[in-house]
Amino acid sequence: MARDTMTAEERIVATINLEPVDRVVCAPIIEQYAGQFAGITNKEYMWDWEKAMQATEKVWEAYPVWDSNAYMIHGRYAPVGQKCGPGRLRMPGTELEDNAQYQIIEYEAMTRDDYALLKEKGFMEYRLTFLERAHQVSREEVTAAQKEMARLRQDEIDRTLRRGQSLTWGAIMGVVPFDNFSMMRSIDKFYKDMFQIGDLLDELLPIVNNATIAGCEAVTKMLGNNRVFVGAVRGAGQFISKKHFDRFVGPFMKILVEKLAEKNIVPILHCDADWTKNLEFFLELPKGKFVLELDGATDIFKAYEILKGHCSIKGDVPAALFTVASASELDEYAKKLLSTFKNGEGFMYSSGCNLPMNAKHENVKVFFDAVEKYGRYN
Amino acid sequence: MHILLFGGFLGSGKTSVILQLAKRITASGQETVAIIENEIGEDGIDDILLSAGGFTVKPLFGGCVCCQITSDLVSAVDEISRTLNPDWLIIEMTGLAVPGNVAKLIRRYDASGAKCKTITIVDAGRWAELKEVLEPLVVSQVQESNLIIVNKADIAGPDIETTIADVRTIVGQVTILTASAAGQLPPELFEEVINLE
Repeated sequence: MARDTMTAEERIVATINLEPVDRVVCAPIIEQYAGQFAGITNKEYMWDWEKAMQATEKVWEAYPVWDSNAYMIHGRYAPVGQKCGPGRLRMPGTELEDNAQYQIIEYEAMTRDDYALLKEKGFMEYRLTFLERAHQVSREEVTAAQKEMARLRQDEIDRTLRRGQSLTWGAIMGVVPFDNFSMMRSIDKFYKDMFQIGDLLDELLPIVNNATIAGCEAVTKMLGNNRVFVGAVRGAGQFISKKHFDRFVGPFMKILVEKLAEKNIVPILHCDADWTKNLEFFLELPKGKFVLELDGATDIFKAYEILKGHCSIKGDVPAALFTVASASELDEYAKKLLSTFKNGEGFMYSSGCNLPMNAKHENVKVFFDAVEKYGRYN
Repeated sequence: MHILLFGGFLGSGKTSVILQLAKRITASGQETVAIIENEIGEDGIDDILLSAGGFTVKPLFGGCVCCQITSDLVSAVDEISRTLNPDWLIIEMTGLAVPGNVAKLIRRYDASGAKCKTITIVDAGRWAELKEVLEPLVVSQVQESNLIIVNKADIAGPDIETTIADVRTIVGQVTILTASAAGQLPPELFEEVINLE
């Protein structure tokens, strides 16, 4: 068997730069599956940091070919997630059964009147108000939880680097402006805003975008890693028309990536849902300056046809192949993925979004085994 | 087991239709119903409403892990088939789901071999508005459905004919029924749903 000749960091940097590597980057989002793999309940995983970290370690010990940690548990870990997580969270062991996966509850935590508040106070200040409301906690509790989350993130970083893995991203910088509004307002209310007060959104989306760019700059300086996670879902062509994408989504993603590229920051655009209709758009973003992460809903083979040589693509073994398909079906899909993308074409092999916590262990093994079987280049 | 998969945008009236349908099926005491409630919104309101009707309800949440929900749904179908084996399994999808896509996955992976039919509820009062903003979503929801129910006919006014005509251009020969699920649904509608082929 050939050996790795690059470090994990060299490999991911080369992949983003569309350069040849020794073998494919393997960067699944492990998260809650680790607890199941380690034989603990999800309550233990979500409420006991040390157990969660040990569970993650066990996955890596079993599958050391996992060389890039797309980590995010520090923001969902129950004691902080329920005070400053992305939305109201229901957790195993408290609101849910001990081995249930956590849930994000979406509701209208931001009212239409709050747009004026956001305009007056700025996005980051308003975001704190939103978090107070979403989690029903005080400002002091929100900021204390944010500090704790930063400490846990550093712990995840330290453990990741000690294992010799790369950080797929240094920090998670939330979502693109359109998704921020959609999730804070709830989609039912936000679609009405698009219909009724689109001009106000035109005015406010740049404010949110600028705050996100500034946040990315600050956090990359602080962590010394120039990769950031930026999520996008609701603006996909699966949901909204091209007309609205061109008005409310595309321009801001373009500005975001361009401004970050100027600062040598690489956004990993975590695009959940089906973006197949939008793939041509990504050609408008600067070449080799971002990663397009797909979750299995977008046609990744179409993405390859359109974006080959333009950007790194991360993905996308779908959740169903881990949970309900046979191991051989997963192997077949992994083979197709890893033989479609050629060395130097910027592919990062991954689960589509999170590896499901109810994944079959034999399918997970096949997922990792595929790296040596089909993704070894040297 | 027969599977009826209900889709349609948030607030279109899926829960109201399902509640009446489940009561109708179980009224004679001859057949049983289980419900999977797949929500994305505020704390399980529909779940509570359906449970209060005396039905076995399995909640299934989307949230940040919405990309996993379809495969979780297949697992839930399998579990209900093995443990309860009801005559009818009614699935209420989130307002953002595309029923045709979900049905494909169920047909591919569900080991019970149950027939799976899709019914999309169209909100007659908001069709034009929704189509203006969320056209790809609402069009894909009605496409590949086995039956369309244009709901809220009582409040839609004369525009309902325009809505029906527009939906007709998308679904072709698929049956389109009108309803007002806020009130009592007609027996003919239940017959159409139950005998859906």
